[in-house]
Formats: sequence, C-alpha cells, structure tokens
Amino acid sequence: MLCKDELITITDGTVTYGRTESAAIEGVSLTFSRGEFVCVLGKTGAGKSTLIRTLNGLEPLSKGTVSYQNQSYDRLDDEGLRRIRRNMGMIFQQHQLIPRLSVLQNVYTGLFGYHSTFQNVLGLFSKEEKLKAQEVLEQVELLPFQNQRADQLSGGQKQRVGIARALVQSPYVFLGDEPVASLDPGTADRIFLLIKQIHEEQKLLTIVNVHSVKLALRYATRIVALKDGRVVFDDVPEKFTEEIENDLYER
Amino acid sequence: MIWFNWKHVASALLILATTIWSIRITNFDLSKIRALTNMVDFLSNWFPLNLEVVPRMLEASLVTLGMAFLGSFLGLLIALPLSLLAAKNTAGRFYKGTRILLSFFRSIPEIVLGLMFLTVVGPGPFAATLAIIFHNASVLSKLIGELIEAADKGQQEAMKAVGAPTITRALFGIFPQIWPNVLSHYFYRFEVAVRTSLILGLVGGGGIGQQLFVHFKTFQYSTVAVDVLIIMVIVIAVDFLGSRVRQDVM
Repeated sequence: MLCKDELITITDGTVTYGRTESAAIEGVSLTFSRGEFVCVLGKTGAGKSTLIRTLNGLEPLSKGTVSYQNQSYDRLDDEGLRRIRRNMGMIFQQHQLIPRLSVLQNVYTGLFGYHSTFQNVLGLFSKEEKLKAQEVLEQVELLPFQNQRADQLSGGQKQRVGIARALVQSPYVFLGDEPVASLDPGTADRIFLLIKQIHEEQKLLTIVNVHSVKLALRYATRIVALKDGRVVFDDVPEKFTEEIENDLYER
Repeated sequence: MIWFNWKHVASALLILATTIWSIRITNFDLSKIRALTNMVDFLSNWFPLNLEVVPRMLEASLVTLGMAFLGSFLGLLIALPLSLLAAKNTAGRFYKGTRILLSFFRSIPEIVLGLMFLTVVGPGPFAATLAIIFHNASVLSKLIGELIEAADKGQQEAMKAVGAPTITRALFGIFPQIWPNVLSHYFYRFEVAVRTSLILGLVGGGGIGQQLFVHFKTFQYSTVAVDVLIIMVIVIAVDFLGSRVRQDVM
C-alpha cells in the first residue's frame, strides 16, 4: 500500500526532439498526488502528449527528472521501469489494442508487467488474475463481448477494452493520451464519465490530455495548461477563466 | 516543367542507357523470333503425352512438395527469431552484423548450397532440403525484419506501458500486426521453394525436378511434357492454397 500521497514528480522536465532548437516541453515542474483528476489542456503541438508520455518513461527527458514515489527514472534499468509502469494504466487515443486477439485476451495483456515472457506466452495467470479480468470487463460493460475479436468492435467499445486492459493492472495511476479525441461527442462523454467513475472508486491519480475544455471543466479537480511546452496555468478548474482559455488557444 | 526536374531527366537517360547496353550484351534481337517454327517443331515432340509414367511422376512430385514445404517451413521457424536481430528497432547493436551475415548467405546461389550439402549427406532430397532451409532462413529473416521495422509503434508502446518484458513486447506488440504479411511472404517462398527444388534436381536433389532433367537429357519429350504439366499444377495449387490461407487470416 501507498504511504504517501505524492506519486509522480517532474522537475525541470525538458524534452527536445532530434537537433531542433525548440523543445516539446521545457522546464516543466509539477507534482501529482493521489486522488487528483488532472486534465492537461493546450493547443495541438503544445507538448501535452509529450508530457503524459514522460510520466511513465515512454519519452525520456533530455533534461530534468521524473520520479514515481521518489524513484527517479534515469537511475532505473529496464526492469525497474517495468515495475513502475505496471502501476500505471495508460489509455491511448488509438486504443492500441493487439489485433487478432479477443477482447478477453487483450485484457490479459494488461497482466504482462507482473510475469515473465514464459508465463505470458503460456498464459500462466493466477485464478485471482483471471477473475480480475472478468471483473474489469464487467466494469466496462463488455463481458458479453469477451470472446469477440477486439478489432471488430466499435471505436467506443475498443476504448473500453483499452480501459479494461489498464484496469486489470490494478494501477495507482491512470494516464490518458487523448483517450476520447477520436470518438464522437456522445461516446466521448460516456468514456470520460467511465474514467472518472473508475478514478473515484479506486482513488487513483488520473492525468488525461483533452481537447475539450468543457470536459476538463466538468470533471477535472486540477487543470494544467501548456503553451509552447511551458506550464502557463496550474490550478483548480474554477480559476480557469474564459480569458485564460482565449489566451491559451489564441482566440 | 511542373512534374519533372533535372533529376528525373537524368534518371530517365540513365535507364535508357542501361536498357541499350543490356540489349547489346544479351544479343536481344526480336527479328530472330522468325524462327518460331523451331519451337513448334520441338513442342510437337511432346505429344502424345506419355501417360504411363503419371503414377511414378506423381510420386516424385510428392517428394518435391515435401522438400519445398519442409525447406520453407523450417526456414521460417529459423527466420522468426532471427528477424528480430535483423530489424533496426529490435536488434540494437546486433543489427549491422546480422544484416551483413544474412546478405552474405543470401548471395550464395541455392545450387551451390545444394552441391555443398551434397558432399556432406550424399545426393538426394535431404541435401536439397538443407539447401532450401538455409536459403529461406536468410531470405525470410531479411523480409520479416523489414516488416518489423515498418510495424506500427503504437501497439509496441502499449505493451511497454503495461510493463511487459522485452520479448513479450516483441511477441505481442509486433507479430500480431505483421502476421498476415509474414504468411504472405511465407507462401511466396514456399512457391519459390517448389521451383528451387526443381533446379536442385539438376544436381541430384531428387523429386520431379531430377526426373525432368533425366527425361530431357534422354530426349523423352513426351515424358517431359507430363513432368512439366505436373509441375505447373503444383505451383498453381500452392499459390491457390496461399491466397486462401491469407484470406482466412486477414
């Protein structure tokens, strides 16, 4: 169990791609604690996606440090990073399910962080883990579809499988890289609500990129806004005024 | 010039020059085709077909099929793990070495491989099969390696994000998405292996290829005709099987 509420800290985080002068994110310092529902806002190219991806080490920092429970990623080997990543469920814009596998099989892939390749390939998961997989499918209302091929589902259903895959990890953190950007507004609303419900039930730390300011204002407990890779706003949604919004999107 | 620049013009001139050079060096002369009657004469010797040999030739063609299947399938089994060492994104520091080694192996003609294995295990289908395995392992490693390089990164990242160990990442993040293309390459190589095993018949590799060679050398053209027909049927059947499997796997 966790004994501290502070989970992820990024200090002076900078990411530069290749030899370009301009950084994707620059000098970002943030601390995220358990129970927070953080929405990251900003224009396309503001560095939202890069920020989320640094938090589980998918994107290494060019400068600065990221740490999870005081373990800095740059001092960890592959195995150490694995241990951290399995505590964080990640949901992607294009869901990134494994094609050709069934819904249930895709959910099982969420358990890969806890086992060796040998166990994974033979599917040697414990009884509790198998029950957990059923349980999370029930939670995202996909239990009747468990044996269907995941690539034959609708966009919203696929994203639910993505959520189930993240949930089966029993994570402390939920990371979402534009999880609802490819969905129609109605479906996006429902998926966002589902994420929020799970967040509250499991008392997670959730950090999600969104395009829709409306969704962020409705669900977030904290808004972080990025402009040209720098944090320009970091506070409760109530303080996110229309003026700040207009400035952020340069309207 | 809207669509073309000087680079296009230069390439066109280069291709033209190469074409002219190739025509000269190969004695490519369409006017010689007037002697088409010679071919008609040759082919007329093929008929009537010597149907007596059909059962025996079918038996020989099963040997050919066996060689081609085993050669390409075992080649694939070797290539699957090897291809991870032949792709830039999964091989790391082994990449260059593997690629150089593979292109060296690919550059050895199959018939030379056949002759080499023949000195070890004696003439027959076994030597030919070894040659086909060796060649296909190196060809398929390169082809599958290229599929791995072009694979979508998203699923690999998803597997990374759940904390999967390295080999699990490759197995689940890469292979499911490239599988239809792997099979497509495999069936093409199976088809090529059928033809290779015919050539290997020239050096005593057995199967219907060797029969074809013997019949040809002994002027038994009506038997040659039967051999050729059976070979055509095999190649078409393998191609048909391949496209069926690919359809089902999509």
